Amino acid sequence: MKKMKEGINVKNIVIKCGADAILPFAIVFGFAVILFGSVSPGGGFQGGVITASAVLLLYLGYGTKIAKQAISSECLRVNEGIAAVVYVVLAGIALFMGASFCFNTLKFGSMGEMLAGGTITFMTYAVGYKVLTGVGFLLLMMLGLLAGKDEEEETE
Amino acid sequence: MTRKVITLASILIIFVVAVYCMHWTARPENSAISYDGRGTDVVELYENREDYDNSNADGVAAIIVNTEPSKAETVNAVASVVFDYRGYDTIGESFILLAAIASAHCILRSAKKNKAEAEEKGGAKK
Amino acid sequence: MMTVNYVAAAILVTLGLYTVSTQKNLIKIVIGLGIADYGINLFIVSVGYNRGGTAPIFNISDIVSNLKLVGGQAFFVDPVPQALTLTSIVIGACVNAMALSLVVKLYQQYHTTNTDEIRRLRG
Repeated sequence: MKKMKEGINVKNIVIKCGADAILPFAIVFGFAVILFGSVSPGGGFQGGVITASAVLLLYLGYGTKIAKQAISSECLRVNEGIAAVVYVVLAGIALFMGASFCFNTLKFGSMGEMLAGGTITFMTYAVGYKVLTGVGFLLLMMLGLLAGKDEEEETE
Repeated sequence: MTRKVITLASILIIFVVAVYCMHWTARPENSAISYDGRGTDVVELYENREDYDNSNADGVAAIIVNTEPSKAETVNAVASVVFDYRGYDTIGESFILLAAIASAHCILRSAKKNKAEAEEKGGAKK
Repeated sequence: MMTVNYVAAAILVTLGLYTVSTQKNLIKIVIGLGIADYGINLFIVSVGYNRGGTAPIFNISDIVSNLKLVGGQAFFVDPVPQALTLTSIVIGACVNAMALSLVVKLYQQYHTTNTDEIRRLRG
């Protein structure tokens, strides 16, 4: 606790407390919007952007150095490509089963349950993960350009 | 002085023309394709799905909503349009996202290197 | 058919065009590009509006118990323009990201964000 108190200026303590309070709500709400994408309003794109705001909150509260230590940008960059490939594979399954492209073929329940939309549900997860990692990587890269000013302020 | 007058006059003309064109496009008697959901009986649609009579549908959206409980059994109509009826457009859009982030990474990689070199020069001079 | 939405969309598009054509700061030009994009998205969504309609989601519990529907008839708004606007929003965000990264490179080369001076300096 002593180390943290030495490194933080007095004028940033309010922003740090605000970011601490909102961060778990942002992540949980974003994942909820992605998971219930085929049953309630929302879906992949909306939930992915909500969850990617966690990177921005970390930067506002703690600075670029701690944000880069908490989230590794190499991992985000690799996962974005994996999610794109998974999405194309799911869309191409319907071609092998004798229907048109992107048809809903894996129906596991009746209308109104969560697994009723078969490939639609899994496509929502894939697109949500892709937007999450992509926008998070973009934010981390652009905020990393501002590192010079923060380090000068800390060493003074 | 005349430059400001010309700018303001052209802004006003563009605004009036934009409002008139948007109003004309969305009038119901001019646009032939519009979805008026009053003719859809949802209870009957839910109970016998394949036998629903779809002959007097007035546009694309009516056909999509009426065939949705039998083909793509999803509750969310917008999700079924984005991922099932128009899934090809969504593939293109996710690849636009990939391309934009990759090109931003390419452009800013040399920017980071130039910035690091400039900081080293400034530190060496001091 | 809501007139207020069309007037707001026209205001946004006009503001965006004015900002792109008359401002001299690079970042203001990029912001103007984004504002024109949002105006067009608002127009596309408000074309598919039916008066008195609800969200385009089948409510299973209401259908089974036949509670809130008037004579068993649904009244959705149009789901197709909403689906097309999702794609348009993502494209707007990507255009903004690339334009801002180009602005960063320009500032590093010329050390100014004034378009008049960038035209004069030429490296």
